[in-house]
Amino acid sequence: MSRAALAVVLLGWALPLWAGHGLLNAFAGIAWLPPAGTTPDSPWYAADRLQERSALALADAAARPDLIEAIAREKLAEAEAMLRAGKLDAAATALTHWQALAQTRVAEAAPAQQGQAVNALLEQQYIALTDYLDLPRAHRVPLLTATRAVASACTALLAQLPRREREGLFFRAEEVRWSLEMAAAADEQGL
Amino acid sequence: MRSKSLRLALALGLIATLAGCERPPAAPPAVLSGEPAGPYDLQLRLAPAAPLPAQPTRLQFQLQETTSGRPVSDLQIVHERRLHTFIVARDFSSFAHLHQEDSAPLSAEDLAAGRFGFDYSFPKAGRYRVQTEFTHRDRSWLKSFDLDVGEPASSLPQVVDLARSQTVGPYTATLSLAPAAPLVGQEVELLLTLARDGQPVSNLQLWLGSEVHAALWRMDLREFAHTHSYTPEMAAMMAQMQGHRMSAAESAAMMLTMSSKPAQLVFPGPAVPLRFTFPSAGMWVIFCQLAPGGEPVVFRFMLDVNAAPP
Repeated sequence: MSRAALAVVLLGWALPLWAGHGLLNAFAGIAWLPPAGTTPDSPWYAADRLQERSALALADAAARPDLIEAIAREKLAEAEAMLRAGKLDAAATALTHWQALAQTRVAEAAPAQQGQAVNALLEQQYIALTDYLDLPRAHRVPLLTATRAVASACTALLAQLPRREREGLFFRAEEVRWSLEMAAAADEQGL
Repeated sequence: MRSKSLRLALALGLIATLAGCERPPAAPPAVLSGEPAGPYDLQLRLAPAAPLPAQPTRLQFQLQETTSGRPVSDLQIVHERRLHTFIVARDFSSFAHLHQEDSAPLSAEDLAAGRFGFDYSFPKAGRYRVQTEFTHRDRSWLKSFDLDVGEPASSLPQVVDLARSQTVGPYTATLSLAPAAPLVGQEVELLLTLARDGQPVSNLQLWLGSEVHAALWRMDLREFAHTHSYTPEMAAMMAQMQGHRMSAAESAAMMLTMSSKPAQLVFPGPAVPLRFTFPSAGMWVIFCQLAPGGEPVVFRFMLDVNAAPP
Protein backbone atom coordinates (compact mmCIF):
# COMPACT_ATOMS: atom_id res chain seq x y z
CA MET A 1 0.00 0.00 0.00
CA SER A 2 2.82 2.42 0.90
CA ARG A 3 4.47 1.86 -2.45
CA ALA A 4 1.25 2.53 -4.27
CA ALA A 5 0.86 5.78 -2.37
CA LEU A 6 4.41 6.69 -3.23
CA ALA A 7 3.74 6.07 -6.90
CA VAL A 8 0.72 8.37 -6.76
CA VAL A 9 2.70 11.08 -5.01
CA LEU A 10 5.75 10.89 -7.22
CA LEU A 11 4.50 9.99 -10.61
CA GLY A 12 0.83 10.90 -10.81
CA TRP A 13 0.08 7.27 -11.37
CA ALA A 14 -1.48 6.71 -14.76
CA LEU A 15 -2.91 3.48 -15.97
CA PRO A 16 -1.47 2.16 -19.20
CA LEU A 17 2.21 1.42 -19.44
CA TRP A 18 4.60 0.04 -21.94
CA ALA A 19 6.15 -3.32 -21.67
CA GLY A 20 9.43 -3.95 -23.41
CA HIS A 21 10.50 -0.36 -23.86
CA GLY A 22 13.40 -0.26 -21.47
CA LEU A 23 12.77 1.82 -18.41
CA LEU A 24 10.50 0.19 -15.85
CA ASN A 25 11.17 -3.33 -17.11
CA ALA A 26 14.92 -3.52 -17.64
CA PHE A 27 15.14 -6.09 -14.83
CA ALA A 28 11.86 -7.88 -15.50
CA GLY A 29 13.23 -11.42 -15.57
CA ILE A 30 16.26 -11.39 -13.29
CA ALA A 31 16.92 -14.04 -10.70
CA TRP A 32 16.13 -12.80 -7.22
CA LEU A 33 18.07 -13.29 -4.01
CA PRO A 34 18.89 -16.74 -2.63
CA PRO A 35 17.69 -17.73 0.85
CA ALA A 36 19.58 -15.89 3.58
CA GLY A 37 20.99 -19.13 4.98
CA THR A 38 23.26 -18.66 7.98
CA THR A 39 22.79 -15.09 9.16
CA PRO A 40 25.14 -12.86 11.20
CA ASP A 41 23.11 -13.44 14.36
CA SER A 42 23.85 -17.15 14.20
CA PRO A 43 26.66 -18.73 16.27
CA TRP A 44 27.68 -20.54 13.06
CA TYR A 45 28.17 -17.37 11.06
CA ALA A 46 31.92 -17.22 11.65
CA ALA A 47 32.26 -20.74 10.27
CA ASP A 48 30.10 -19.81 7.32
CA ARG A 49 32.29 -16.79 6.60
CA LEU A 50 35.39 -18.94 6.88
CA GLN A 51 33.98 -21.30 4.29
CA GLU A 52 33.22 -18.37 1.97
CA ARG A 53 36.68 -16.89 2.33
CA SER A 54 38.26 -20.27 1.70
CA ALA A 55 36.17 -20.77 -1.43
CA LEU A 56 37.20 -17.34 -2.70
CA ALA A 57 40.86 -18.00 -1.97
CA LEU A 58 40.76 -21.29 -3.83
CA ALA A 59 38.71 -20.11 -6.79
CA ASP A 60 40.58 -19.70 -10.04
CA ALA A 61 40.45 -16.45 -12.00
CA ALA A 62 37.69 -17.69 -14.28
CA ALA A 63 35.40 -18.79 -11.46
CA ARG A 64 36.08 -15.95 -9.06
CA PRO A 65 33.75 -13.26 -10.50
CA ASP A 66 30.69 -15.52 -10.40
CA LEU A 67 31.56 -16.68 -6.90
CA ILE A 68 31.93 -13.09 -5.67
CA GLU A 69 28.55 -12.24 -7.15
CA ALA A 70 26.88 -15.29 -5.63
CA ILE A 71 28.26 -14.50 -2.17
CA ALA A 72 27.34 -10.83 -2.55
CA ARG A 73 23.74 -11.77 -3.27
CA GLU A 74 23.74 -13.98 -0.22
CA LYS A 75 25.04 -11.09 1.92
CA LEU A 76 22.28 -8.90 0.62
CA ALA A 77 19.73 -11.58 1.50
CA GLU A 78 21.23 -11.83 4.98
CA ALA A 79 21.04 -8.06 5.42
CA GLU A 80 17.39 -7.94 4.38
CA ALA A 81 16.52 -10.80 6.73
CA MET A 82 18.25 -9.05 9.62
CA LEU A 83 16.59 -5.71 8.85
CA ARG A 84 13.20 -7.42 8.79
CA ALA A 85 13.99 -8.95 12.16
CA GLY A 86 15.14 -5.63 13.58
CA LYS A 87 18.65 -6.95 14.24
CA LEU A 88 20.53 -3.87 13.14
CA ASP A 89 24.01 -4.86 14.26
CA ALA A 90 23.73 -8.14 12.38
CA ALA A 91 22.36 -6.28 9.36
CA ALA A 92 25.30 -3.89 9.49
CA THR A 93 27.67 -6.86 9.41
CA ALA A 94 26.04 -8.29 6.32
CA LEU A 95 25.92 -4.89 4.62
CA THR A 96 29.60 -4.31 5.30
CA HIS A 97 30.41 -7.62 3.64
CA TRP A 98 28.15 -6.79 0.69
CA GLN A 99 29.85 -3.47 0.10
CA ALA A 100 33.29 -5.03 0.43
CA LEU A 101 32.41 -7.66 -2.16
CA ALA A 102 31.15 -4.97 -4.53
CA GLN A 103 34.44 -3.10 -4.17
CA THR A 104 36.36 -6.31 -4.75
CA ARG A 105 34.36 -7.09 -7.85
CA VAL A 106 35.04 -3.64 -9.23
CA ALA A 107 38.72 -3.70 -8.37
CA GLU A 108 39.34 -7.13 -9.85
CA ALA A 109 37.33 -6.73 -13.04
CA ALA A 110 39.53 -7.12 -16.08
CA PRO A 111 38.55 -4.82 -18.97
CA ALA A 112 36.70 -7.64 -20.73
CA GLN A 113 34.70 -8.33 -17.57
CA GLN A 114 33.83 -4.80 -16.54
CA GLY A 115 30.47 -4.86 -18.31
CA GLN A 116 29.48 -8.04 -16.52
CA ALA A 117 30.60 -6.54 -13.21
CA VAL A 118 28.53 -3.41 -13.76
CA ASN A 119 25.54 -5.50 -14.79
CA ALA A 120 25.79 -7.65 -11.66
CA LEU A 121 26.04 -4.62 -9.39
CA LEU A 122 23.09 -2.97 -11.10
CA GLU A 123 21.02 -6.09 -10.51
CA GLN A 124 21.97 -6.19 -6.84
CA GLN A 125 21.11 -2.51 -6.41
CA TYR A 126 17.79 -3.00 -8.17
CA ILE A 127 16.87 -5.91 -5.91
CA ALA A 128 17.89 -3.97 -2.79
CA LEU A 129 15.86 -0.93 -3.82
CA THR A 130 12.83 -2.95 -4.87
CA ASP A 131 12.75 -4.72 -1.53
CA TYR A 132 13.59 -1.52 0.33
CA LEU A 133 10.07 -0.11 0.38
CA ASP A 134 8.71 -3.29 1.91
CA LEU A 135 11.22 -3.33 4.78
CA PRO A 136 10.27 -1.90 8.17
CA ARG A 137 10.63 1.88 7.93
CA ALA A 138 12.39 2.11 11.27
CA HIS A 139 15.17 -0.24 10.26
CA ARG A 140 15.78 0.05 6.54
CA VAL A 141 17.93 3.20 6.13
CA PRO A 142 21.26 1.34 6.44
CA LEU A 143 20.33 -0.59 3.30
CA LEU A 144 19.88 2.64 1.34
CA THR A 145 23.20 3.95 2.63
CA ALA A 146 24.96 0.76 1.60
CA THR A 147 23.22 0.72 -1.78
CA ARG A 148 24.39 4.27 -2.44
CA ALA A 149 27.95 3.18 -1.74
CA VAL A 150 27.63 0.26 -4.14
CA ALA A 151 26.02 2.60 -6.68
CA SER A 152 28.96 4.93 -6.43
CA ALA A 153 31.45 2.16 -7.19
CA CYS A 154 29.23 0.90 -9.99
CA THR A 155 28.87 4.33 -11.58
CA ALA A 156 32.62 4.83 -11.57
CA LEU A 157 33.13 1.53 -13.37
CA LEU A 158 30.27 2.21 -15.77
CA ALA A 159 31.99 5.41 -16.84
CA GLN A 160 35.04 3.42 -17.88
CA LEU A 161 33.16 1.13 -20.22
CA PRO A 162 33.41 1.60 -23.97
CA ARG A 163 30.56 3.77 -25.23
CA ARG A 164 28.74 0.91 -26.93
CA GLU A 165 28.77 -1.21 -23.80
CA ARG A 166 27.75 1.74 -21.64
CA GLU A 167 24.78 2.50 -23.88
CA GLY A 168 23.71 -1.13 -23.72
CA LEU A 169 23.30 -0.74 -19.96
CA PHE A 170 21.55 2.61 -20.21
CA PHE A 171 18.05 1.46 -19.25
CA ARG A 172 19.29 -0.65 -16.37
CA ALA A 173 21.32 2.23 -15.01
CA GLU A 174 18.37 4.57 -15.39
CA GLU A 175 16.02 2.20 -13.64
CA VAL A 176 18.42 1.92 -10.71
CA ARG A 177 18.80 5.70 -10.63
CA TRP A 178 14.99 6.00 -10.57
CA SER A 179 14.73 3.39 -7.85
CA LEU A 180 17.25 5.27 -5.70
CA GLU A 181 15.22 8.44 -6.08
CA MET A 182 12.05 6.59 -5.15
CA ALA A 183 13.62 5.06 -2.07
CA ALA A 184 14.99 8.39 -0.86
CA ALA A 185 11.68 10.09 -1.51
CA ALA A 186 9.86 7.38 0.41
CA ASP A 187 12.02 8.05 3.45
CA GLU A 188 11.46 11.80 3.16
CA GLN A 189 7.73 11.31 2.88
CA GLY A 190 7.59 8.77 5.70
CA LEU A 191 6.15 6.13 3.38
CA MET B 1 7.76 -78.41 5.15
CA ARG B 2 6.26 -78.71 1.68
CA SER B 3 3.62 -76.08 2.48
CA LYS B 4 6.32 -73.72 3.80
CA SER B 5 8.35 -74.19 0.64
CA LEU B 6 5.26 -73.63 -1.43
CA ARG B 7 4.41 -70.42 0.42
CA LEU B 8 7.98 -69.22 0.02
CA ALA B 9 7.94 -70.00 -3.67
CA LEU B 10 4.64 -68.17 -4.11
CA ALA B 11 5.96 -65.17 -2.21
CA LEU B 12 9.12 -65.05 -4.29
CA GLY B 13 7.09 -65.40 -7.45
CA LEU B 14 4.84 -62.50 -6.42
CA ILE B 15 7.81 -60.31 -5.63
CA ALA B 16 9.39 -61.10 -8.98
CA THR B 17 6.13 -60.31 -10.77
CA LEU B 18 5.73 -56.98 -9.03
CA ALA B 19 9.33 -56.04 -9.69
CA GLY B 20 8.80 -56.70 -13.36
CA CYS B 21 5.74 -54.48 -13.58
CA GLU B 22 6.19 -51.02 -15.11
CA ARG B 23 5.72 -48.25 -12.61
CA PRO B 24 3.06 -45.76 -13.62
CA PRO B 25 4.49 -42.42 -14.78
CA ALA B 26 4.69 -39.73 -12.13
CA ALA B 27 1.62 -37.53 -12.11
CA PRO B 28 2.18 -33.97 -13.30
CA PRO B 29 2.35 -31.39 -10.51
CA ALA B 30 -0.99 -29.92 -9.51
CA VAL B 31 0.41 -26.39 -9.40
CA LEU B 32 3.32 -24.93 -11.31
CA SER B 33 5.30 -21.99 -9.89
CA GLY B 34 6.55 -19.30 -12.21
CA GLU B 35 10.28 -18.74 -12.55
CA PRO B 36 12.30 -16.85 -11.50
CA ALA B 37 11.40 -16.46 -7.86
CA GLY B 38 11.14 -12.95 -6.48
CA PRO B 39 8.78 -10.56 -4.71
CA TYR B 40 5.83 -12.04 -6.63
CA ASP B 41 4.62 -15.63 -6.76
CA LEU B 42 2.66 -16.58 -9.85
CA GLN B 43 1.14 -20.03 -9.83
CA LEU B 44 -0.42 -21.90 -12.72
CA ARG B 45 -3.00 -24.65 -12.53
CA LEU B 46 -3.84 -26.64 -15.62
CA ALA B 47 -7.10 -28.45 -16.22
CA PRO B 48 -6.62 -31.18 -17.14
CA ALA B 49 -3.40 -31.35 -15.14
CA ALA B 50 -1.86 -33.35 -17.99
CA PRO B 51 -2.87 -31.44 -21.13
CA LEU B 52 -3.47 -33.27 -24.35
CA PRO B 53 -2.78 -31.92 -27.83
CA ALA B 54 -5.67 -30.31 -29.71
CA GLN B 55 -7.82 -30.47 -26.57
CA PRO B 56 -8.93 -27.36 -24.65
CA THR B 57 -6.85 -26.80 -21.54
CA ARG B 58 -7.76 -24.31 -18.84
CA LEU B 59 -4.80 -22.21 -17.72
CA GLN B 60 -5.58 -20.61 -14.37
CA PHE B 61 -3.07 -18.16 -12.90
CA GLN B 62 -2.94 -16.89 -9.33
CA LEU B 63 -0.68 -13.98 -8.41
CA GLN B 64 0.34 -13.14 -4.88
CA GLU B 65 3.03 -11.33 -2.97
CA THR B 66 5.71 -13.81 -1.98
CA THR B 67 6.37 -12.48 1.51
CA SER B 68 2.82 -11.86 2.69
CA GLY B 69 0.90 -14.36 0.53
CA ARG B 70 -1.62 -11.62 -0.23
CA PRO B 71 -3.18 -11.73 -3.67
CA VAL B 72 -2.06 -8.95 -5.98
CA SER B 73 -5.27 -7.17 -6.82
CA ASP B 74 -4.00 -4.04 -8.54
CA LEU B 75 -1.98 -5.01 -11.60
CA GLN B 76 -1.56 -2.08 -13.97
CA ILE B 77 -3.03 -2.15 -17.44
CA VAL B 78 -0.34 -2.42 -20.09
CA HIS B 79 -1.32 -2.38 -23.73
CA GLU B 80 -4.94 -2.81 -22.70
CA ARG B 81 -4.37 -5.96 -20.63
CA ARG B 82 -3.22 -6.77 -17.09
CA LEU B 83 -1.50 -10.14 -17.59
CA HIS B 84 0.10 -10.99 -20.91
CA THR B 85 0.78 -14.63 -21.71
CA PHE B 86 2.90 -15.90 -24.57
CA ILE B 87 2.83 -19.61 -25.29
CA VAL B 88 5.49 -21.04 -27.57
CA ALA B 89 6.29 -24.60 -28.54
CA ARG B 90 9.82 -25.54 -27.61
CA ASP B 91 10.68 -25.96 -31.28
CA PHE B 92 9.05 -22.57 -32.01
CA SER B 93 6.56 -24.16 -34.39
CA SER B 94 3.61 -22.47 -32.67
CA PHE B 95 2.98 -19.19 -30.88
CA ALA B 96 0.06 -17.64 -29.04
CA HIS B 97 -0.37 -14.29 -27.27
CA LEU B 98 -3.32 -14.59 -24.88
CA HIS B 99 -5.13 -12.78 -22.08
CA GLN B 100 -8.27 -13.51 -20.09
CA GLU B 101 -9.86 -10.33 -21.36
CA ASP B 102 -9.72 -11.64 -24.94
CA SER B 103 -12.58 -14.00 -24.18
CA ALA B 104 -14.12 -12.87 -20.90
CA PRO B 105 -13.94 -9.72 -18.78
CA LEU B 106 -12.11 -9.76 -15.49
CA SER B 107 -14.64 -9.80 -12.71
CA ALA B 108 -14.16 -7.85 -9.50
CA GLU B 109 -13.66 -11.19 -7.76
CA ASP B 110 -10.96 -12.18 -10.26
CA LEU B 111 -9.10 -8.93 -9.70
CA ALA B 112 -9.39 -9.07 -5.93
CA ALA B 113 -8.05 -12.62 -5.94
CA GLY B 114 -5.24 -11.92 -8.41
CA ARG B 115 -6.76 -14.58 -10.61
CA PHE B 116 -6.53 -14.79 -14.38
CA GLY B 117 -7.52 -17.64 -16.67
CA PHE B 118 -8.31 -18.66 -20.21
CA ASP B 119 -8.57 -21.74 -22.37
CA TYR B 120 -6.00 -22.81 -24.89
CA SER B 121 -5.57 -25.84 -27.11
CA PHE B 122 -1.94 -26.80 -27.45
CA PRO B 123 -1.64 -27.70 -31.13
CA LYS B 124 0.56 -30.79 -30.82
CA ALA B 125 2.34 -32.99 -28.31
CA GLY B 126 5.59 -31.59 -27.05
CA ARG B 127 7.25 -29.22 -24.65
CA TYR B 128 5.94 -25.68 -24.26
CA ARG B 129 7.12 -22.48 -22.60
CA VAL B 130 4.40 -20.33 -21.05
CA GLN B 131 5.76 -16.82 -20.60
CA THR B 132 3.87 -14.19 -18.63
CA GLU B 133 4.43 -10.50 -18.11
CA PHE B 134 2.69 -8.14 -15.73
CA THR B 135 3.25 -4.68 -14.28
CA HIS B 136 2.75 -3.73 -10.67
CA ARG B 137 3.74 -0.53 -8.88
CA ASP B 138 5.40 0.75 -12.03
CA ARG B 139 7.72 -2.20 -12.51
CA SER B 140 7.31 -5.03 -14.99
CA TRP B 141 7.92 -8.66 -14.15
CA LEU B 142 8.37 -11.86 -16.11
CA LYS B 143 7.42 -15.33 -14.94
CA SER B 144 7.73 -18.47 -17.04
CA PHE B 145 6.53 -22.06 -16.86
CA ASP B 146 7.61 -25.16 -18.75
CA LEU B 147 5.15 -27.93 -19.36
CA ASP B 148 4.64 -31.07 -21.41
CA VAL B 149 1.61 -31.72 -23.55
CA GLY B 150 0.78 -35.33 -24.39
CA GLU B 151 3.74 -37.58 -24.83
CA PRO B 152 6.62 -35.36 -25.94
CA ALA B 153 8.64 -36.97 -28.66
CA SER B 154 12.36 -37.30 -28.15
CA SER B 155 13.90 -33.93 -28.80
CA LEU B 156 14.08 -32.94 -32.43
CA PRO B 157 16.65 -30.51 -33.78
CA GLN B 158 15.27 -27.02 -34.04
CA VAL B 159 14.92 -25.86 -37.59
CA VAL B 160 16.76 -22.61 -38.21
CA ASP B 161 15.21 -20.37 -40.83
CA LEU B 162 17.08 -17.11 -41.36
CA ALA B 163 14.92 -15.94 -44.25
CA ARG B 164 14.03 -12.29 -43.88
CA SER B 165 10.71 -12.72 -45.68
CA GLN B 166 7.97 -14.87 -44.24
CA THR B 167 4.56 -15.63 -45.73
CA VAL B 168 1.37 -16.41 -43.82
CA GLY B 169 -1.71 -16.84 -45.96
CA PRO B 170 -1.91 -13.91 -48.38
CA TYR B 171 0.52 -11.81 -46.33
CA THR B 172 4.28 -11.53 -46.65
CA ALA B 173 6.32 -9.76 -44.00
CA THR B 174 9.88 -8.68 -44.70
CA LEU B 175 12.23 -7.83 -41.87
CA SER B 176 15.15 -5.53 -42.48
CA LEU B 177 17.74 -4.59 -39.89
CA ALA B 178 20.12 -1.71 -39.33
CA PRO B 179 22.85 -2.68 -38.79
CA ALA B 180 22.21 -5.67 -41.02
CA ALA B 181 24.21 -7.95 -38.74
CA PRO B 182 23.00 -7.30 -35.19
CA LEU B 183 25.56 -7.30 -32.42
CA VAL B 184 25.10 -7.75 -28.70
CA GLY B 185 24.59 -4.53 -26.79
CA GLN B 186 23.95 -2.39 -29.88
CA GLU B 187 20.55 -0.95 -30.55
CA VAL B 188 19.09 -2.42 -33.73
CA GLU B 189 16.49 -0.76 -35.91
CA LEU B 190 14.08 -3.41 -37.13
CA LEU B 191 11.75 -2.51 -39.95
CA LEU B 192 8.83 -4.78 -40.70
CA THR B 193 7.22 -4.32 -44.13
CA LEU B 194 3.94 -6.01 -44.91
CA ALA B 195 2.40 -6.91 -48.24
CA ARG B 196 -0.73 -8.74 -49.27
CA ASP B 197 -0.65 -10.67 -52.49
CA GLY B 198 2.42 -8.66 -53.45
CA GLN B 199 0.81 -5.28 -52.77
CA PRO B 200 1.89 -3.03 -49.88
CA VAL B 201 -0.50 -3.14 -46.94
CA SER B 202 -1.85 0.21 -45.76
CA ASN B 203 -4.66 -0.85 -43.44
CA LEU B 204 -2.79 -1.89 -40.33
CA GLN B 205 -4.86 -1.31 -37.26
CA LEU B 206 -3.90 -1.01 -33.64
CA TRP B 207 -4.16 -4.25 -31.79
CA LEU B 208 -3.84 -4.01 -28.04
CA GLY B 209 -2.57 -0.49 -28.41
CA SER B 210 0.22 -1.02 -30.92
CA GLU B 211 0.76 -1.62 -34.61
CA VAL B 212 3.08 -4.53 -33.82
CA HIS B 213 3.78 -6.75 -30.84
CA ALA B 214 7.10 -8.53 -30.92
CA ALA B 215 7.97 -11.42 -28.60
CA LEU B 216 11.64 -12.33 -28.72
CA TRP B 217 13.34 -15.43 -27.30
CA ARG B 218 16.87 -16.59 -27.44
CA MET B 219 16.59 -20.07 -28.84
CA ASP B 220 17.60 -21.74 -25.56
CA LEU B 221 14.74 -19.80 -23.89
CA ARG B 222 17.09 -18.23 -21.37
CA GLU B 223 16.25 -14.73 -22.59
CA PHE B 224 12.89 -13.14 -23.36
CA ALA B 225 11.72 -9.69 -24.31
CA HIS B 226 8.52 -8.06 -25.50
CA THR B 227 8.48 -4.86 -27.51
CA HIS B 228 6.30 -2.77 -29.82
CA SER B 229 6.37 -0.18 -32.55
CA TYR B 230 8.88 2.63 -32.14
CA THR B 231 6.94 5.85 -32.60
CA PRO B 232 8.36 9.37 -33.18
CA GLU B 233 7.06 10.34 -29.76
CA MET B 234 9.00 7.48 -28.23
CA ALA B 235 12.11 8.51 -30.16
CA ALA B 236 11.87 12.07 -28.88
CA MET B 237 11.46 10.88 -25.34
CA MET B 238 14.43 8.53 -25.60
CA ALA B 239 16.58 11.36 -26.95
CA GLN B 240 15.68 13.47 -23.93
CA MET B 241 16.42 10.62 -21.56
CA GLN B 242 19.72 9.76 -23.15
CA GLY B 243 20.74 13.41 -23.07
CA HIS B 244 20.28 13.28 -19.32
CA ARG B 245 18.22 16.41 -19.46
CA MET B 246 15.91 15.16 -16.74
CA SER B 247 15.99 13.19 -13.55
CA ALA B 248 15.22 9.49 -13.60
CA ALA B 249 11.87 10.16 -11.93
CA GLU B 250 11.05 12.69 -14.66
CA SER B 251 11.96 10.09 -17.28
CA ALA B 252 9.70 7.51 -15.72
CA ALA B 253 6.92 10.07 -15.31
CA MET B 254 7.22 11.03 -18.97
CA MET B 255 6.90 7.38 -20.00
CA LEU B 256 3.85 6.97 -17.83
CA THR B 257 2.25 10.19 -19.06
CA MET B 258 2.80 9.24 -22.68
CA SER B 259 1.39 5.81 -22.03
CA SER B 260 -1.73 7.13 -20.38
CA LYS B 261 -2.97 8.73 -23.59
CA PRO B 262 -5.17 6.54 -25.80
CA ALA B 263 -3.01 4.79 -28.39
CA GLN B 264 -3.07 6.41 -31.80
CA LEU B 265 -2.30 4.70 -35.06
CA VAL B 266 1.02 6.02 -36.34
CA PHE B 267 2.02 3.32 -38.82
CA PRO B 268 -0.87 2.16 -41.05
CA GLY B 269 1.64 0.32 -43.20
CA PRO B 270 3.31 -1.02 -45.06
CA ALA B 271 6.33 -0.38 -42.78
CA VAL B 272 6.47 -0.49 -39.00
CA PRO B 273 9.71 0.25 -37.11
CA LEU B 274 10.86 -1.35 -33.88
CA ARG B 275 13.98 -0.91 -31.78
CA PHE B 276 15.71 -3.52 -29.73
CA THR B 277 19.06 -4.16 -28.09
CA PHE B 278 19.96 -7.82 -28.00
CA PRO B 279 21.42 -8.52 -24.56
CA SER B 280 23.34 -11.65 -25.52
CA ALA B 281 24.70 -13.53 -28.49
CA GLY B 282 23.03 -16.53 -30.04
CA MET B 283 20.14 -17.49 -32.27
CA TRP B 284 17.06 -15.43 -31.51
CA VAL B 285 13.49 -16.13 -32.53
CA ILE B 286 11.13 -13.19 -33.05
CA PHE B 287 7.37 -13.50 -33.34
CA CYS B 288 5.81 -10.35 -34.80
CA GLN B 289 2.09 -9.87 -34.49
CA LEU B 290 0.35 -7.29 -36.68
CA ALA B 291 -3.31 -6.69 -37.48
CA PRO B 292 -3.92 -5.79 -41.12
CA GLY B 293 -7.57 -4.91 -41.39
CA GLY B 294 -7.88 -5.64 -37.68
CA GLU B 295 -7.11 -9.38 -37.93
CA PRO B 296 -3.92 -10.42 -36.10
CA VAL B 297 -1.32 -12.31 -38.10
CA VAL B 298 1.90 -13.73 -36.69
CA PHE B 299 5.22 -13.94 -38.50
CA ARG B 300 8.28 -15.76 -37.20
CA PHE B 301 11.83 -14.66 -37.90
CA MET B 302 15.17 -15.95 -36.67
CA LEU B 303 18.28 -13.87 -36.22
CA ASP B 304 21.84 -14.83 -35.47
CA VAL B 305 23.22 -12.25 -33.05
CA ASN B 306 26.96 -12.10 -32.59
CA ALA B 307 29.03 -10.77 -29.76
CA ALA B 308 30.44 -7.32 -30.40
CA PRO B 309 34.14 -7.27 -31.19
CA PRO B 310 36.26 -6.10 -28.23
